[in-house]
Amino acid sequence: MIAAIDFGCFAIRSAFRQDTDGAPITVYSERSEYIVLPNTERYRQLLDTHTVPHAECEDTVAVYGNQASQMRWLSRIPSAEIFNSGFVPSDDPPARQMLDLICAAILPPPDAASNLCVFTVPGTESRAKSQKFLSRLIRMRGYEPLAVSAAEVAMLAEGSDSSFSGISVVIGAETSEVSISRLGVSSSSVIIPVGAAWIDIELARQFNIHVFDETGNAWLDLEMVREWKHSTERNLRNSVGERERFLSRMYRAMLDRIAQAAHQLLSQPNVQSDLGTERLNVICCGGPTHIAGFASALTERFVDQDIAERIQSVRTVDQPELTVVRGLLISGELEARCRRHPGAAA
Amino acid sequence: MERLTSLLIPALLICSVCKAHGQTFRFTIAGDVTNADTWEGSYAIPDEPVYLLDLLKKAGVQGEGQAVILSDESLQSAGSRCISAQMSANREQLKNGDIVIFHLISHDSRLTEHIVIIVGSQRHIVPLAEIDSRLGNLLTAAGVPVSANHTIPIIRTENGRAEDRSVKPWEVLRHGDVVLLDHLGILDNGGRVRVNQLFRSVLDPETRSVSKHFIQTVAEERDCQPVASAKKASEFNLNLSALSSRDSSLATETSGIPILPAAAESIISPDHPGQSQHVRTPVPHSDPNPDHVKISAAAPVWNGIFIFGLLGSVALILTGWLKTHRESSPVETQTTDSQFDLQSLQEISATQAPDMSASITHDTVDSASRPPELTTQEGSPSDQSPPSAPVTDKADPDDKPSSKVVNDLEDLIRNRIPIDIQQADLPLRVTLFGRPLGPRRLRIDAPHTRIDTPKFATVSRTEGTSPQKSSSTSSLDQERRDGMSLDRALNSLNEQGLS
Repeated sequence: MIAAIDFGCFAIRSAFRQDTDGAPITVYSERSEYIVLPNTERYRQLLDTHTVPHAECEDTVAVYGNQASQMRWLSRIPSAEIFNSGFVPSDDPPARQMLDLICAAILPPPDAASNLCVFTVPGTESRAKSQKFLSRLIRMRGYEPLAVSAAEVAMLAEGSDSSFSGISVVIGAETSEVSISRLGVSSSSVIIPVGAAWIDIELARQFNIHVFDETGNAWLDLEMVREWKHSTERNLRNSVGERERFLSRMYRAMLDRIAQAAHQLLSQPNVQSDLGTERLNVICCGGPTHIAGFASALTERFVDQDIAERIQSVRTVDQPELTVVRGLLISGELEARCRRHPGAAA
Repeated sequence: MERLTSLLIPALLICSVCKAHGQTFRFTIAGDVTNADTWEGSYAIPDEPVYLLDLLKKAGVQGEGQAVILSDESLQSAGSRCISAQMSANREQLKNGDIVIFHLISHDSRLTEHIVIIVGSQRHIVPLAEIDSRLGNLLTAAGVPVSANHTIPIIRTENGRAEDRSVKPWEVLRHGDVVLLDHLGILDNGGRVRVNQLFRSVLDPETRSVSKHFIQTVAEERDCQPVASAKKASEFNLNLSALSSRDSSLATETSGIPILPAAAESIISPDHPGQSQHVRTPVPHSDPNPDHVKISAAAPVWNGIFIFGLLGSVALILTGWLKTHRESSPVETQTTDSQFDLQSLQEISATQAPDMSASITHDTVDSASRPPELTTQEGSPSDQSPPSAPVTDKADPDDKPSSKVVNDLEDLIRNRIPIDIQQADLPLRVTLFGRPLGPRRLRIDAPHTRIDTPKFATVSRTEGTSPQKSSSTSSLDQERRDGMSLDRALNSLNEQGLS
């Protein structure tokens, strides 16, 4: 059995296939967040009545996964991220235990054959610690963990038209990854600690998009920002109104960092020796790329960074949220094949 | 002493030449080239680099296109390169055994369209016109039964990339396809029986019309050695292997099948003008006497000595081996007899089939499953085998799953597999240790209480002289505050970057 888990700061997605004989890919997707409710009989009864999965944590009740956003109306505090600021929290034991519960729910039972689970590690800081923790979770489920880069597997999933060569950009909630690959093998990659969450937080701060709890404390209302941002009317090229202009400006700042990183990667000697001066295709995936005018905005940044002559095309993928998890599955299949035929891998 | 010295010098010369010629290489160039073939030979200098552009120019590339390189061992794509005949320098090196399929950007209609068939270690270049673009024609003519359900793994080399595919025997192949026949079960028992069956059946006069050129290629390249005429070839290429007795007898007995001479050319590396490497170049079929043979002039004396010595030894070895081989291998002698092909094939199939059936999946050829255009071949000699004789079609049961896995992986890569998004089954109620911290970074701190303005006891001094903030300054401050507010986010981003 080969399984894949994309541990994202917005959602945790898994993919696997029960058999390889034309069976569809089963994908589980759970939001990586939870809400905190008071542990009273009234709340517990309500959750039980609506069969909402929840966890009792001392004097609180936590609703996690996809149900968190649906039950948010019960709480006046916005939902909390399981991956606090992009890494596995060391000071939030319930969040760590929720990760285990989600892992158990989205991974199929292992079969008798070799079981491999390919996964991505979120964040930039404490990445090694996060990887160690997540590997342990996967191993507890009977799988052999294998951590890979999200940008590298994105090239496997979407780069077949360009011989798996080019630049892949994966923009997540907390981080963005840029990788330059040749024939499916990453020559160089970089992780930038900027993602969609940074844009959402700055938007909420700038335009005072708040919610207030019972005690009068103000909280940034990211859910409302996301709801506004994900509207199909938003366009990075034709901004209407102050908020949209601010959104474009934030995107521009983020894409500038990405283009800058691509410029630095392209100037590395090993990349130059691998790819020479050939023009490269850029593949963009991740939830934040699903906004109108994204490709044009990134092209502008490449022009600003003087690397436009190295770029052949900039493309956003059709299923930006599922590209990485599908790429992980491909990576797992390739890894399994290499292990079955070690001579071929050599 | 003089005698010793005179013997020592030739011995040293022969040893040094042998060492230089010890490493052999093989490259296959096919596609849009005028001279598609497998190039074999030996390095003049050990580990001499072989450049893609040089080989393509030797093979007769005309124009600009993409060269897809397949590595020898795994037949995995090693990438594609843009090559133009006008290029003067390209430092792309090939590894020994590489297969290069070149596709012009605009296909030249004068060039013959062909495919590369790989059977075991042998590589055959077969014109598509001679098999009517269908592999089933060739296999049927060769007496290898195939059914419509079987799939044959191929590597399609179009648009500058190599794609692993599986085709039915009656699907139309395309120019530049690389067909792997090992998976069809043609190789068996170490690659001997079925290969001979294939080749012998093709040599049958009844089916010769199907693949004339392939017959020639096969006649040359039997037993994994593409040696045509030992006499001619060995004159020019010292490292060609010895001609088997079977091939020599075949050459004499099948007089209708021309044996192609081979020439040796030296490829001069642009990087090393003084060095050369021998490459056996197949001569066009219309040219029976190759005049364009060039011998490297690097060491003519050494080569002369070596040729002289080697010719003598080869002649002796061949004579001895010819005698013993004829006596000890009756079955293989039969295979060289083109008049006895069909009968011997049936006998071999009948005697070997029970053993094979124990471990090999069998499929009989269903005449109804054949395409209509092949019904004319129903009466061909290869189909006259008794129905009781089971025919082998799938040799290795592991091959089918592997080709299926390849297809499956390709579907996965091309996003052709449907995705079923499901809801995870989380436990309804659990108890967790600890207290959740909640959304820490989303909390906005309450504003600080206002601090009283400083109180100074200088009221008298400031009377009438206290500076008043001008309206322009205060508006500037306001703008600056707004600007700072807008840039706060970017500043924080810059700080992140700096940290």
